[in-house]
Amino acid sequence: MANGFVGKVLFVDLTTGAVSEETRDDAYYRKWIGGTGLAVATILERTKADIDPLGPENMLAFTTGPLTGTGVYGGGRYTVACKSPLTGAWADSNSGGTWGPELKFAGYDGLFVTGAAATPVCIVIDQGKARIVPADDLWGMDTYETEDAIQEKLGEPGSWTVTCVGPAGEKLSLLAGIVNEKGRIAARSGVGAVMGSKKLKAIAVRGGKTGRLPVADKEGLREIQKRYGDELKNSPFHQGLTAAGTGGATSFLLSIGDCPTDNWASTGTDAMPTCDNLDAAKMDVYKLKSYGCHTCPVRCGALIEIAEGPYATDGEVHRPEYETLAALGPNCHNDLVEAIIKANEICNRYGIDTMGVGGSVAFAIECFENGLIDAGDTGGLELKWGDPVAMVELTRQIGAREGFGAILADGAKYAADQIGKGSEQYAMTVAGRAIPFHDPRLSPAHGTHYIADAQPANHLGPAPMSALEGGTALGSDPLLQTDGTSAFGEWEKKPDLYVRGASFYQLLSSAGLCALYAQFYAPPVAELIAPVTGWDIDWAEGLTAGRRILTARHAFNAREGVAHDSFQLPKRFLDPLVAGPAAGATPPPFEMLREGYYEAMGWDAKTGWPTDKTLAALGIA
Amino acid sequence: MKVTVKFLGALRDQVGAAALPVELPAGATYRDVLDAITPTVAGRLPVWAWDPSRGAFSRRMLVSLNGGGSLTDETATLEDGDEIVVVLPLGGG
Repeated sequence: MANGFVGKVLFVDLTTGAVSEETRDDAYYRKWIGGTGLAVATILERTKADIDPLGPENMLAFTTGPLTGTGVYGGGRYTVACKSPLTGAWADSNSGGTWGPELKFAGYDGLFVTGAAATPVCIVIDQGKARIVPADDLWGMDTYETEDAIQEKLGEPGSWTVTCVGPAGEKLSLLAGIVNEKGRIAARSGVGAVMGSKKLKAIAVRGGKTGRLPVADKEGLREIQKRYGDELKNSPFHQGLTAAGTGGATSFLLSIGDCPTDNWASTGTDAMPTCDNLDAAKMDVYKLKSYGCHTCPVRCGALIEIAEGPYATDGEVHRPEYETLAALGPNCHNDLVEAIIKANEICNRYGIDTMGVGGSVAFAIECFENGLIDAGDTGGLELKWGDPVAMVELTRQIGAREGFGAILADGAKYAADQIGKGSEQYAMTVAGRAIPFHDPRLSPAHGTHYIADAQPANHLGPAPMSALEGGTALGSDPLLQTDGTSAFGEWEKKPDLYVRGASFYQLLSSAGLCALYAQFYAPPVAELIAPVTGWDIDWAEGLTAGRRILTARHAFNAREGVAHDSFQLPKRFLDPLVAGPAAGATPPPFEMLREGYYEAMGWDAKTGWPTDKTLAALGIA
Repeated sequence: MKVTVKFLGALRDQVGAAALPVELPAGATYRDVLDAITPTVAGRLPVWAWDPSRGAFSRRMLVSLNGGGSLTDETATLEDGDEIVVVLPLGGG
C-alpha cells in the first residue's frame, strides 16, 4: 500500500459477473495521480475505439485521488469517467459527499465497470469484499427511495454509503447523472445513462472502522494543513460559500452579465429586475441545517424543506446551487425560488443534470414562443417565459422521460434534431452539452475552455486559467506566477497562462480536491500531496502530471475521431453582451485562443489531437 | 508613504490601469485611500463595482489587503508598501 492510496483497484464485468482486483504501485500513481488521471489511463488502456457509449464495452470508472479520505480539507470528491453518450467525447464528472472516501475505506482507489447485466443489479463493496447482488426490486425507484431501500436490504441501515441512478438513468436519458446521498451528483455528460445501460442501479460501499488512509509524513501534513486551513478561513469567497452556498449572488452575477436570461438571449438587471428573489438568502426561511462534504470546513451545502404549498417538498432536500438557480431561474425567466427548489428536488430524485434540464426547458420555451412548437406538441403545456408551473411540470416529464419531456430528455441539441424547423438556433450547447451559466463573453478563459477542453462546456476547470489571466498567482512557486493580462486583450499572452491554469486544475481535481476551492483561492495542492504520499513532488512535476492528464483526455478524443474544431459556441455568443464589463465589446476570439492553447500544449492546433512527440514526452502510450 | 491599489481581471480594463499608486501621509487609513482614488475610479467603474453613495467599492467586490482576508474596515491603518487588491468575483458551481 502506497501512502495516500489503498493500492488496489476493482474491476467488475457485469456481463460475466467476474469481479477481480489489481494492484497499482507508487510509480503508477505518481505518474497519473488519481481521479481523472487514474480513469483516463485505465480507459485508454482497457477499451477499444469507436465503441457504443451505451453498449457493454464502455467502461464506467469511479476513481479517487491521493488526498481523498486522508483528512485533507476538501478531499471528499470522487470522479466518474467514461466515453460520453451525450458528446461522443471524453467524460469526467465529479461529486462530493462521502461516497468517494468511503470507497477507499472499503478497500479500493477505483472501481471500473464494464459489460451489462441481463437484469438490474447492485455492486456491494463491504470492507474489501465485492459482490454483485440482484436489484430488480429497486428498478424504477427514485434515488431517495433507492438509497433507503438499499440501507434496509443490506442490513445495518445507515452503515452504507450509496451512489445510484434514478429513473432518468434507467431510461438512458443523456442528461442523467449518478447520485450519492440523495443530492450530491456526478451530473454531466450522460454518465448516468451509461450506468443505466449496464443495468447497474447502485453501488453501496462500507468501510467499517478504517476511517483514514495512511499518510507518509503526519507532521508535515499537519503543518501545511494548518496554513491551508487558515487561508481558507480568511478567504472572503469561502466565507460567502459558508454563509449562502454557491447561489449567494445570483442577482449580482446577472447584473454583471455573467448569468443569462431567456435562454441566453439577454442579461443584466434590467432584463430581470426581480432576480434578487433567487439569491440564496431567500431560501434561509426553508433551511434546516448546513452540511459539508467529507472533511470540508467550508460547508457550502444545506438541507431545506418547504412544508406546504404548491411547491412543497417531500421532506428535506438539498438547497439548489448557483448553476441550478441560474438554469431554472433567469434562464427560464423564472423568479420563484420555491419552484426552483421543487424542480431541483425532482432532478435529484430522477437523477438528472439540472444544468441540462434548464437548458432544455429554456430551449423548449423559446421554440414555443417563436411558434416552432405548440400545445399540440407539448401535450397541452403552454410554454412561456416566467411560468414556474410549466417549468416544474416539464422538469418532471424530462426526468420521467414521458410526454414532451421524452423529446427533451437528451438535451436541447438532440431535441432540435427531432423538432427541426431551424430550432437548432435555440440549442445553447457545445456538442450537445448545455452551456454552463457563466457567460463566456465575460471571461475569455471560460469561453476558450468551453470549446477547447476534451469535455466541452465544462465550467469548473477554467477557474485557475481565469485567475492567471486576471493577475492572480496560484501560489508562491515561480511556475504559478503571472503578470496578468487585459481581460479583453493581450490575446497572445493568454495561451501560456491557460496551459498552466488548466494543468493546475487537473492536478487539483485528480488529487481528489473540491473544484470549488479553486474558484477564488488556489489550494497548495503539490505541497499537500507531498506529505500525504511521501513523494518529493514539486510544482514542475505536479503541473507536468496535470498536463499529462489533459493530454491523455485529448488522446482519447483523438482515438474516437472527435476533432475539436467541431466544438463551437452557438451563434448567439457572437453578439456583444448587453450588460457588465464586457457590454458592447466584440466577443473574445475564442477559436484563436483555442489554437494558441493547443499549440502551447503540444497538440494539433485545429483538431486538438496530441502530437506523437508530446505523447512520447509525457509517457503516454 | 505609498500604497498600491491593484485591479484584477475585468476591473483592470474598466479602470484602464492594472494598479494605482497612492501617496499618503503616514498613518493613513483605508478611507483615505478610497478618497484618494475616487476622482480616478468613480467615473470609470460602474455601480456594480463602485458604490458612489458610500464612495467605496461595492460590497460585491472582493477587496483584500496584502493577500489577506476581506478589507472592509475603513478605519484600518495602512503601512508603507501595502497592496490592496480588488477582484470581480466570477465563477463557481
